[in-house]
Order: sequence, then structure tokens, then C-alpha cells
Amino acid sequence: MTAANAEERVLAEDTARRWLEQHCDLKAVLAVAEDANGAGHPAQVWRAAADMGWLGTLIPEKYGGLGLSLADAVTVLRALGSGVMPGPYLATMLAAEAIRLGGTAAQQARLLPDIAAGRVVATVAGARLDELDITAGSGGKLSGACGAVAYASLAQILVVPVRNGAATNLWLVDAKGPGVTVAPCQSVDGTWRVGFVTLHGAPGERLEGDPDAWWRFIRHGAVLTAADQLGLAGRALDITVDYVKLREQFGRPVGANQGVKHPLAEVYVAITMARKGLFHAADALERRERDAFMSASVAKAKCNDAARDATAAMIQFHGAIGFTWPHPAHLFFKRAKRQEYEFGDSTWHRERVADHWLKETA
Amino acid sequence: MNIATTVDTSAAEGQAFRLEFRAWLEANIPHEWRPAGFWHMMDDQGAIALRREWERKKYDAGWAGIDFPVEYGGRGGTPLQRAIYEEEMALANAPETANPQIPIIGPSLLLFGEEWQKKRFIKPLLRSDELWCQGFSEPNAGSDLASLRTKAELQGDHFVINGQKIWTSFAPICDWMFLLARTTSTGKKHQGLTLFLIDMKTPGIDARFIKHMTGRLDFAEVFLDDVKVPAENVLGGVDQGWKVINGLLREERVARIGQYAFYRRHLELLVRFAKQAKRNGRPAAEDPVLRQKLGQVCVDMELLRIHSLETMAAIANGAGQDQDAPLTKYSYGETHQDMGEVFTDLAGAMWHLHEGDPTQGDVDQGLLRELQFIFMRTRAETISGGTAQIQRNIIGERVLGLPRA
Repeated sequence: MTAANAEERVLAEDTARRWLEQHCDLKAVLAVAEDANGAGHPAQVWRAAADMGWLGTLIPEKYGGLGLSLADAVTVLRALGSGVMPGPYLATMLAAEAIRLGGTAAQQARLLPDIAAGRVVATVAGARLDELDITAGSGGKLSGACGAVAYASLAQILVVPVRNGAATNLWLVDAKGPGVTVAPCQSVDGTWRVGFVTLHGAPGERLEGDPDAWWRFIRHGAVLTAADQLGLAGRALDITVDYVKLREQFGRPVGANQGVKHPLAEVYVAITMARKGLFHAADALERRERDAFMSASVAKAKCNDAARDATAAMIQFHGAIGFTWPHPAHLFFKRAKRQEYEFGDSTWHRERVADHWLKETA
Repeated sequence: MNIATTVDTSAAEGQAFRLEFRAWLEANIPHEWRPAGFWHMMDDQGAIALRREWERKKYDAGWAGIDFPVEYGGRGGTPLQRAIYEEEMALANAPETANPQIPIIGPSLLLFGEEWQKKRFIKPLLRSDELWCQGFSEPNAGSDLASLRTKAELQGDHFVINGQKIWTSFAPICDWMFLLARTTSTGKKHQGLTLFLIDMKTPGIDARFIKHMTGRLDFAEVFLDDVKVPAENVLGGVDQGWKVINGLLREERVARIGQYAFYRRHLELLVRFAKQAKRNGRPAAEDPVLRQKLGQVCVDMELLRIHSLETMAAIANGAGQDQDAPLTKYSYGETHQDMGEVFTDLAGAMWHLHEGDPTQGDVDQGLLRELQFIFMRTRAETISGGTAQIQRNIIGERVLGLPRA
């Protein structure tokens, strides 16, 4: 990344943050969480995501996107994560990324422009990386349980991993079409919406561009999800630091105590290392480096841990107020813990890193 | 991507330097020195003598003082070459330096020394003809260094120094000491300190070893009783000692680059050990819980590598102050200790045995001994040079802006 576009990136992230703060602040997010039967889809955020190009960050310019890098997408998603932003933008960007990585030029040309413009909501099954038992029958009819899928009720395009012997292929399904049932499900995390999807002979279309795209896609998915987590973690730390500077007990700010100062210093260290790991992984995947999959695992494992620690610290160091519903700490904490298990939890990623080292060391 | 190195040597200049030094090390490190544990199964005096001889040989071949100016006996290279040098030394398992204060006293002399001091001291330092020790800590001045009490009084053309220093590594075998003493007792406590260059043969100096918990001789205590030091042996000016110490932050950052490669080798030893040791009749490397623990230190080490890459890029771009220095120090110490814990988890009940337990797999004895040593040694890393607690204070106060207690 050149210094010039590093500056542009900082500017873009700053703009996104300020826009979100003005148009969907933490109070508004809490209202979305309280409206459990609502769509969880603030219209102004979605319009901004389309108009400012966030949805199309990774989509090539010829298909209506900005054609930027994974690191740029990380920056955008970190800004959205720092606002604990509700909406199907991450699910849609993940689906677009699957299509970009796996689709033919014709498939991309047909689908990506509508996604970049925010005309359709898309989503992906299989984010928790357990093997799904979805099979393709004759004529490309897909059957099987997809499990919990982000914004399933809202989505028009669904990307599903389909088993093909030892391989996994990515397929597209018209989520509003025949053979698709969606059963909405409540989540402890009120900043998103989720539903169980089952396919009963749903007409599918295989992404024919790169049959091995699944393996690349889950690494890209890990990095994009981790970006949201990093946004949560950074904002959680900022809010907490501001609070412990002001809140006084025993005649001094609680942040003067090492029992508070040291854990927050540790959170800062964790977030800093997570950030470095994440941008490194984004660049490594972009360049298709040989060990890029390991970099992605390092990044996701660290972002999982940093986001959990930062958001837990946010509750802890606010004291009792941090445990209340009206305070936003729980929004950060629940979302971080939810995302910890998407695109590989730390256990999954650590195993891959250990395996790599054991194989590489004579 | 070479996961062993943090210095990007895709540019031809750096790569040529790297390959030349690597070839020299390959040709000059005796084969019997190479197996894991070699240095840990030898007595201290023998090891120091061997290392001193090696340092001279290395200097005479032009491989010392990489980024020191030629006129003072250095190689006249760049910080980038220095970082490559540190990495190659670690990767080749080259002997630890016999003169561990080079990265501290060397740059101090260069940045703050008078011309005669540079000419007199730097070359013998780099060649290990003269070994140096650092007289900073005192029994009642550890983390709170500025409250040290060793006193230096000007009497005519010399200072008379009285006091006691402790944790002064290798003092009894050193030729020179750079010592921090109080020259002014009024005003702010860190403003009245001065650095002295002291000949260890001066009458009134008594240095005694204090054994490390590892069993090694390293630490020492030094008693100073009316020690006369010529006034010209002040480094950086009277009452300017604190400024000199703080001027070394950037140097420490370059020095730390080698640390990644050093730890990287330890991680390789650990992974090798995981394949040899058996737990419950199966290779430890197949145990899913142990794999998780190993995976975690691999994650942390990879993050340190990325961090070091960024640090090197910053140095190459001429960046000055390093806000993340306490973060670096803290992370290295913690990660190395975690590695030590993974070693004992892999070894289980045999971690402390000087020979591998034959019922726990066919384990290389030298490997076991070296990992044992590393495990114990890491306990010092969250203490020396500013404890992990002090580092967290600095991060909390200077980076996050939290109030002081």
C-alpha cells in the first residue's frame, strides 16, 4: 500500500465513522436491537452503504464497484463495526466476494452491479465452517439444511457451499424462489437478523469461474468478519478509556488505579497486534502469497481474542452501569462473541497455524 | 515470504549483505557448536572464553559494529544491514555476545561521547578486547531508577564515588563499567544524575557474582568505596545522565530486531521437541490440546514478526521516537514466557530432568537442556529493562492518556 492511498483510507474511514455517528448513533442501534421483530435494516445506513460505495468496495469497477483492495474493505468494515452497525451490508459484501472469487465473468456481470448499487440484499450460508450437508441433485436442484444464515428473510441472493465428493463448490440460489424455506430465529445479538434456511430441491447455479473458490472465500470471509470485530474492539476501548478518566471513586479517577490501567493497556496491545495481523493478512491474500491462509488464521484468531477482551473490559470497567440494558456495552460484547464463531473460531484457526508449523519444521 | 526473517531484503543491496554474512557464518562457526544445547552443557567460564575468542575473530573479519562509523572501528553500514546481521546471527545459532552491553554503551558513546572517548573506547568494545557492564540498578532503585543513591562528588580534577550497584551482569570479569550516579541532590530527582565511564581496576571497587536461578553466573553486585574517577570520564555532561539514557530508545528498537529471529529459533526448537516427546504413548504433536497451545504461540510469534517488519520499515523511513516501544517489550516478554510454558506442557513430568525420560519418547538431550534453560530464562524477561508492570503503566499513561496514580 502506498503512502498516498494509506492517507485516503484514513480519510475514508473517518468520513464513514462521522456519517454513521450522525445518522445511526448508539442510541439508534439500541432501538434496532429492541425492535426484535423488525427487519434490523436501517434504511439510511443501507443507502449510505450503496451511495458511498461501501458495498462495492471489492467489486470491480466494470461491474459498478470501486475495485479496491481487501485492506480497503477492512477499513470500511472496521468503521461500520465501530458503530455496531445493524444491517445486511456484511452479509451482502461476503456474498459479493464469493461471486467475485468464484463466478465467471458472465455471472459477475449479471449479479455484481445490482449488489454494488444496493438494489439487492445477498447473504451466505456456512459461515460457521462446520460441514453442511447440502447436495446437488439432477438439474442442479439443491437440498439440505443451511443452518443459521444472516438476514435470510431479507436476502434475494443466497450463496451456499455444496459438497462435491471431497471438494466444496459455491452455488447460487434465488432466496425468494421455489424450494427455499426460511424460519426466522431470534438472536441474543440484536444488531443483526438471522434465520434458518432449508433447501428442498431449490434451483441452483454453480459458480463456475473457480471451482476451488470456497477455500479462498473462507479466508477472505475471516478477514472481512475480523474487520468488523476490530472496529468493535477499538471503539469499546475508546469509550471505556474516556469513562475511567472521568469516573471518580476514593477521590480520584478509577483509571489511575493499576487494576484498571493495566488490563486496559493489555487490551490496547491486543488491538494493536490484531490490527497489524489483519492488515497483513489482507495484503497477503490480495497478493495470493503462499502462506496467506496462515496469515488469515493468525488475524482471525487474534481479532477474536482482542474483540472479546476489549468488549468484556468495556462491561467490567463501567461497573454496574455496564451491565445494564440501556448502556451500549452489551451490544459490543454480544456482537463480538457472535462473530468469534463465524469464519473460524480461535480453536479452528490455531489448529491450522499449529499444523502449518509442524509441517514446515524439520 | 520467508517466515524466518523480518527484514525485507528483496532489494539487492540487503540481500547481497545477507548472503555474504551467512556464508561467513557457515564457514566460521565450528560444527561442534551447532547442536541444540551445546552452550547449556558447558561451564560458564569456558563459555565466556570461547565467546570472547569468537568475537575477536568476527571483528577481525569485519563482522562487528555493523552500523558504527569506520573511523571508530565499525563497519560503516546501515541500520538495515545491522538488522540483517542480528537476524543471521540468530538463525545461525551463533554464540551469544560476550559483551552484551554493546548495544547500550556503543550508541551512548557515539551520540554523547567526546571525540577522545569515541576513539578510546569504541573499537576495543566492538572487538570485546574490553568487556563492559552497566551500573544502573541499586538495591533500593530498581523500577524507580531515578531514586538511586550512589553519589559522585567532584574533588578537583576527579569525582569520588561511593555506593552500591546490583544486577550488574558480568561485573567481576568486566574491564569497564558505565555507571549512573547522583551528582546533584536538589531539584527533580532525575535531573541530578550523571553517567561515568569507570575502569574496573580502580581501587575501591569490589564486584561479586550472584548466581541466576538458572544456575548460571551472570548477575553481580558492585561495591564502590571512595572510587576516584577522572572528571573527563563523564559521558554526556554532568547532570545529563537521564537525557543520555532516554536518547537510546531508537537504538534499542534496532537491537530488538534480532530478538525476533532469536525467538523464532526457539519456536523451531519447541516444534521439533513436540515431534519427539510423547504424551500418553502418542507424539505430543498429535495431542489436540497441546496443538492448541502450540498454535497460540505460533500466532503470537507471527504477530511479532509482522510488528518487527513494520518497525524495520519505520527505521528505514527514518522514523524517530517509537510510541510502541513499551508494547514491543511487553509483547516479546509475554510471548517468550508463553513459549516456555508450552515447553513444560509438551514435556510433562520430564521437563526438569537433565536427560530425557526414555518412556517419554526418544528426546534429544541437548534440545531438552536448551528448552529447559529458555523456560527458566524467560522469567527474567518481564523484569529486566523495565518490568511488565512498568510497561503497562507507560502504555496506560502515555498512550491511552490515563491519569497517574
